[in-house]
Amino acid sequence: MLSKELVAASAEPLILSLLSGGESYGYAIIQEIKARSKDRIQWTDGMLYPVLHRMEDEGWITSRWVEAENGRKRKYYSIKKDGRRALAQQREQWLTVHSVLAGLWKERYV
Amino acid sequence: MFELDQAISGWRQQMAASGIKMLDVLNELENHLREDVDQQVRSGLTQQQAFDAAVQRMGESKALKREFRKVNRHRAWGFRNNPPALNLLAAWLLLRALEAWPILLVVSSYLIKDFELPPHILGLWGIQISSVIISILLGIGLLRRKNVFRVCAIAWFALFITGTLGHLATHGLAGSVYAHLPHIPASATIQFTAFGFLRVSYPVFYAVLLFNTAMNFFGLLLLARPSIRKLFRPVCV
Repeated sequence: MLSKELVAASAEPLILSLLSGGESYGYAIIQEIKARSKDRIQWTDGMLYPVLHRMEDEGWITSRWVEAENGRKRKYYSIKKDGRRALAQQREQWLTVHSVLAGLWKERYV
Repeated sequence: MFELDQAISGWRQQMAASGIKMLDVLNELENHLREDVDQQVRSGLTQQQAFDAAVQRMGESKALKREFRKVNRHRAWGFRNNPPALNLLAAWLLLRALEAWPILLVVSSYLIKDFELPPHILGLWGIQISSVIISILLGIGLLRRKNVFRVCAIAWFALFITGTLGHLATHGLAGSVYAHLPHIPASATIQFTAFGFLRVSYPVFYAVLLFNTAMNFFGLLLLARPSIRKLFRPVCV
C-alpha cells in the first residue's frame, strides 16, 4: 500500500497518463488504477472528483456527460493539449526521481 | 426491505447537508455510487451490503467537502498565470460586458425621448434599477478579487459615479438617464449631436447604438463560453 502522501502526489500523473490513452469516467479510472497497481494504490473513491475538477479548472482535461447504454449518464473526461504538456513535465520529474533512486540503490544493494 | 433509490436520495441529502450542493457534483458522485453498487451486486453482495460498502469507499462527506472547497476556493480566488496582455483583454471584455446593461438603458431612453413614450410603458425604471443593481453586484464581485480586475472594477465604479453625478448636475434627473456609463452615454450624446448637425438620419444613429449594444452582448457571450471562461476564470466563478 502506498502512503497517503504518495497517493496524493501521484494522482495527477496517473490520471493524465490514463486519460492520454482515451477518455474515461470516474469509476472506471479508479478501477483501472486499482487493477494496474494490483490494489496497492487505493484512493478514497470520492477524493478522485475534486482532483478531476481541479485539473479541469487548470485546463488540462475536459468533461462531457454521455448517456451510457443502460440509460445512465456518465461524466467522461478527456485530456487536452495543456494536459499533455503537463503530463510531459510531470513524467520528466518522476523519471528524474526514479533514475536517481535507481542509481543510488544499485550502488548500495547490488 | 432495502430500497436503493431511497437510500441514495438519503445519501444525497446527507451530502448536501454537509455542504456539497452543486448539482453537477452530486450527480457525478451518485453515478459513481450506482456503478459501484451494480458492480458489487454482480459479484454476489446484496444491494444493501453493496450500498453500505460503496458509501464507505466514497469517503466521509466532511472530508470530501473540504477537498471540494479547496477547488472552489481556487476557483473563486485563483489567479491564473495569464500573460498580462490576456488579463488586459479579459478586463476589456469584462468592461464591455458591464456596459451591456447601461447601453440597454440608453437605447430605451432614446426611444422614449424620440417617440415620446411614457417611460413606464417600456418599463424604463425597471430596466434602470435592475441594470444598476446587476452592475453593482458584478462590481462588488470583482472588488473581492485580488488582481487586475479589481483595479478595473474600481475604475469602472469611479467612472460610473462621477459620470452620473456630472450628468445629474448638468442635465437634471432626466438627463442622468443617459449617464449610466459615463463615457458611453457621453459618446452617444456626442454622436447624437454630431449626427443631428450632419443631418444623418435616425436609422443610422440607432444602427450605431444597436451595433454598440450588440458588441457588448458579444462580449458577454464570449465570457459565457467555457473555453473563454477558462482563460478568465478569476472573473467567472
